[in-house]
Amino acid sequence: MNSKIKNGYFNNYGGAYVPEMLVHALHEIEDEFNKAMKDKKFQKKFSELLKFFSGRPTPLIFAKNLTKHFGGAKLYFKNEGANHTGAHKITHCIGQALIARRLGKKELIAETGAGQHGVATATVAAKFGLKCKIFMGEVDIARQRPNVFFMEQLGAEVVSVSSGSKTLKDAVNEALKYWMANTEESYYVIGSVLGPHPYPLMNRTFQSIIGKEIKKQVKEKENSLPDFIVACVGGGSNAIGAFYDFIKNKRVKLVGVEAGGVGKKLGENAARKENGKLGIFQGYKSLFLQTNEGHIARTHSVAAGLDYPGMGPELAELSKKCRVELDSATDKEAIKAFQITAKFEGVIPALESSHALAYAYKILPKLSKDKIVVVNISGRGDKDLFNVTRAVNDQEFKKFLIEEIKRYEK
Amino acid sequence: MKNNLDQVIEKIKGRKNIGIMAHLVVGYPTLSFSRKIVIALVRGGADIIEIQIPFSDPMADGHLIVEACQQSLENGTKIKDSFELAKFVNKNLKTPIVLMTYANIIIHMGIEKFCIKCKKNCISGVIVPDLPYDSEEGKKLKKYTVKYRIHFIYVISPAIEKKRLQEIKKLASGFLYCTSRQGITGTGKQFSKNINSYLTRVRKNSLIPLAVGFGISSQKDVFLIRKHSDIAVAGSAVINLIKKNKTSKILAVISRFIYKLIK
Repeated sequence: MNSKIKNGYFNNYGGAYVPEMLVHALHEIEDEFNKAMKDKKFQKKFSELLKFFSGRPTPLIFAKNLTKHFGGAKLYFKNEGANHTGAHKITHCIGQALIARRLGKKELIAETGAGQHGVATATVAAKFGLKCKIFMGEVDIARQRPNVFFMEQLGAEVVSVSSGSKTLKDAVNEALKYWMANTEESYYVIGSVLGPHPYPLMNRTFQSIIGKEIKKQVKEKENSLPDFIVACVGGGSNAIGAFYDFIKNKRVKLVGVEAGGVGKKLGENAARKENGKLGIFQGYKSLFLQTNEGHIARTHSVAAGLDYPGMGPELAELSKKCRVELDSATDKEAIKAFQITAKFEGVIPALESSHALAYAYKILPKLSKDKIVVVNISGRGDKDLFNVTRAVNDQEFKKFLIEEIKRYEK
Repeated sequence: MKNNLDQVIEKIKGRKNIGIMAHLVVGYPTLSFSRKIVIALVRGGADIIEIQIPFSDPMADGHLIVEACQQSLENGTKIKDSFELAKFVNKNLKTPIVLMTYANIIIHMGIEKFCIKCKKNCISGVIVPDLPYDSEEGKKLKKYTVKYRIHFIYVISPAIEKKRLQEIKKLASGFLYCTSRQGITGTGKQFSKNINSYLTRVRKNSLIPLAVGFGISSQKDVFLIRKHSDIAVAGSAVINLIKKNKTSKILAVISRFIYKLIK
């Protein structure tokens, strides 16, 4: 049942579909990663950075009020939002930056959608004294200015990408292109469990700390295994990170929640379960949203981190095997879950994570009281301030923005 | 296995000047104009025509070709249009056609079906930059291209690993497409510093013809690589001329451009 990797494939998914000019760079990373995994010094350094820089372990919070409110299963939050920079992303950035440093690279490059992975990469680059270039779609730059500002403060150069849909997938394209011309100096910090081998394996390995901690923490509090682990799935790094340690425990249900967006039609969501077809894109084989001619389709989600056409190959494989169940939540359901979570539990989740919460709130009342549901809150919601205030049409915030402009102009 | 591409390459080898493979994106600037562009390129002296099926996300291409693909798709270009253009060229000009596209277009259509369509439409070779020769689909494409007598043309670059180069040389058919540098397509960037030693290394113990592409936009560029290769590829430079010139001038300009590359 365990998703074993062979020649870079998780059964039929994965691989390394790149122009020949990237093959050597990928081999170099794969070899260094394998060496690092056997190197106690690397493990020690990685653990230390997670503990003293990122702030791990992240807490497992018993959501007492919501458990009571729904009157069914016990609800826990794994709060990855408590990490430095506000999401689980920092973990694989630290891991990859250590690999980059072992390889003697001078520059970290990365793509970013909402800016979270960009901020995490820029943070680690600053910490390690490396140069940093972040590729970001023009549309995302326009709607995520706060993160652009922070990346620049952290010393990164933010490169605006104006091709295609001008969002995350186009940023990945541009980062790959830059990398092709600069493999000697640069290391590409891919921000999820996707792209060519060894990235899906490497990032999952780094992120699997989430599931290990969940297992230990649930054992401490409940002296048992959880019954459900629920996580949102864009590329899938937080999901596979939370799931991986439980794959062999078949009684633990693993649920990935995709972006249901604003409708069922192609272009209105980012749900690969229903509309995804087997394809090869951005270096890996997996399920992709695509047109009937095989072009990569546009996607939509209120959560920028889920607004992407492909899914990590290992998750595609686990879903095919029915070890991971995929479901989806709409933009509206996610916003509602965001509000309920904040109000009842004092936790402001990211809109991405709110998709997982929305699913949990649907199933909780139907489950018996002895069941345990853990939702992985992949990030905190500060970054969504502008999106949420707009979505709920907050008039006071609008007034504040207008006043703020006036203060600027004084 | 030989097809009309091999015959043309034999002719090139027997003459003084190296050959020219001229590239175009199907449907850019419009579909009807694509036919005229091919005719103009052949009139200018192109020995081989490389036609690119536009893809939504061309990962090995620079901004000129990316924009051309985008515009073509916005014009509503379909995959069948590329096959029809190939057929038109074969019927009217006899110039060998090499079809270039990305893996997902082929996987989506089905590898064998794609090869059958190539065969039916007189395509001599296929280039798929994001499909490594040793991947499952790369092997499958190789199998069917052999079956239908089409060349699967591999793309290699200066940083290629020794072992992989040996393997590729053994499997290569038609010619090897050598990029002049690490990076993506586009004009105005320099060739790799080690281009001569790189091409010599590729040539060694192999009879496979070599094409060099990426950044070829003048006679001087062709001059630099002609000793160590058989074909120069003009891609982005042609697109650039199409983009920059008035519609009424494009055909004459690109014809002259190709002509001047070798004369």
